[in-house]
Amino acid sequence: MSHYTSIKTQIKDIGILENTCRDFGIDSLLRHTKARGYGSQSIECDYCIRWEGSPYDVAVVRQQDGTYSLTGDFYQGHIAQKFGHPQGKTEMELNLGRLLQAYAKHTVLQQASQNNLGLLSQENTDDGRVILRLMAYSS
Amino acid sequence: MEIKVVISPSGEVKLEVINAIGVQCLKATESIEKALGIIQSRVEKSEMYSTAVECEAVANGHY
Repeated sequence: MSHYTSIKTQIKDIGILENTCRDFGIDSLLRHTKARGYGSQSIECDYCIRWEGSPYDVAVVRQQDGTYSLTGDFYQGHIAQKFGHPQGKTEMELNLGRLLQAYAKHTVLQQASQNNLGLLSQENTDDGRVILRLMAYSS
Repeated sequence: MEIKVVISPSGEVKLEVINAIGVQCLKATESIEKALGIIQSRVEKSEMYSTAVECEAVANGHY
């Protein structure tokens, strides 16, 4: 027996987002600062993802429904170089795809561990997908 | 029971539950689904349930 579910991932947990950023060599998210863009332009944000060598940041902005949006100045490809998915199709995927994918993976693994599910395997496919296999521990 | 998780470059997640019993399949993925975001679709294989009505009620309650 089986079922399939398809889920559009939303950024809901800042702690998981911060853990995800560590995969990319970023220790912590900044608060009380604006995300930098081209020239002197900046974006108001609740959290700011900033990393060494980039003049642009990623803005993390809380939405009315409690989730967070990710945005930034994608000009010149600074953000894409750090977080973009080379096999992405949309602007978001091309600029922030690897971050979104890694956030989803962290969320799944955190929930798996809380629900007595172990990670059997992880595979990165040629077409850019990540496949995890989880198995329930026998009780 | 095994869960196959496929994560696309957009962060969209597809969960496939294999060899679960009764409502176990829904319970297993419910917390993962809630933590991730918005369910776009759920497809249940017809051979999966001896307790199909019970499972359907749980699924409806999820939305």
